[in-house]
Amino acid sequence: MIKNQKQTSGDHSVNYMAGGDIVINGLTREELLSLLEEHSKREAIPQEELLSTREDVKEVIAPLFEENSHIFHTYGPMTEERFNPESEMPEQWLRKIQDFILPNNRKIVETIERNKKLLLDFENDIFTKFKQHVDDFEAKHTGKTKANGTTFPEDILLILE
Amino acid sequence: MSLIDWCIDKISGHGKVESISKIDSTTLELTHQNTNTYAVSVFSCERMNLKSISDIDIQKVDFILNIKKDAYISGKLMQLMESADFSIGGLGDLYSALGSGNLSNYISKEMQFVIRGLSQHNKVKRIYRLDNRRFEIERKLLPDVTILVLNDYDLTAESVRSGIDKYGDFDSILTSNPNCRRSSNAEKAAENSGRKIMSWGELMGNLNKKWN
Repeated sequence: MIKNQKQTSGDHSVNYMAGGDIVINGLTREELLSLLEEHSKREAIPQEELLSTREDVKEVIAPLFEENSHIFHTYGPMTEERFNPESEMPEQWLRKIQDFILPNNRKIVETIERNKKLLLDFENDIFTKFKQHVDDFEAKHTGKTKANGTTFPEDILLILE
Repeated sequence: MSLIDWCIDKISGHGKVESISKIDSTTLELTHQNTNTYAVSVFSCERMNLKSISDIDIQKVDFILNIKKDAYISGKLMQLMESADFSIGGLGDLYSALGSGNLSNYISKEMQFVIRGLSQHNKVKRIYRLDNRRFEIERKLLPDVTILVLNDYDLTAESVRSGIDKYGDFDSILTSNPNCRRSSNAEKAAENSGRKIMSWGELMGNLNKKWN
């Protein structure tokens, strides 16, 4: 049974409450469905269409996030190789940023941007953060700046649930 | 939850830990998968020196777990650690030590690389650990130099300035993280303080020359 109760930590993540119920981005499934119902009325998108299109968009972006995540965890700066100053992994990491991560990020932003009307208000806020991260990351890795930008907002992985 | 209970909770999740129990309010004992039993003293301190561990019976301890992140450890305490066969580190270090099955002589991967690399350089006569992040390098026919080893991924002006505040005197910063991204302001902050920032390759090259 889904309990109508928010997780106390309030962060945007999937968690399991004591009763075993799923909490997505700080919302119970019931709360999320209620927000989607309101959104469907406000945007004049039939509820069925809203849910299925959100699912379609998720299916497009999820594999791109998965590929980026795999690359990050295999070649990225947080592996054990970070303690080896002679590691050759950074060369691979920098190449994979250009060949995979930057193009994937662009595709993700374009796809969500095209379907922005499907996003709930809190998802829009998360998407704004993600876009800024993508811009900072791209600027850094295309030589536009040496400044270090915002970090990857993990909450983006849980939008369109 | 007390500090020791929090630590027991964290450590018991490690795959190599068979069992764990509280000995007293600051010490725990764990049995490793390799059947050895280790005593771990739990502690919280920003700057560690001989005085700060005076209440710990180092004869009975294999690892001092300092839950303060990136704490300073004085050179004298580093020497005592080596001679008395115990290690000091944070939770990440304890996890790595448990992985290797050696808690009393643990050296982080980062420092293993740095020590080995410096020792093998043909201009290096001897290295001295001044504290947990600084090395004084005695060179053949060239002046001694002191480096501060930082593993930051994003090396900012703040990293440089807090390194100076925390560790004091040194000639250069060695960026031990091969992915390190130095900001322009980090370069300027180092330059304005009369220090250089060097990658591993740059340090290896500069050790052949007079730079200070």
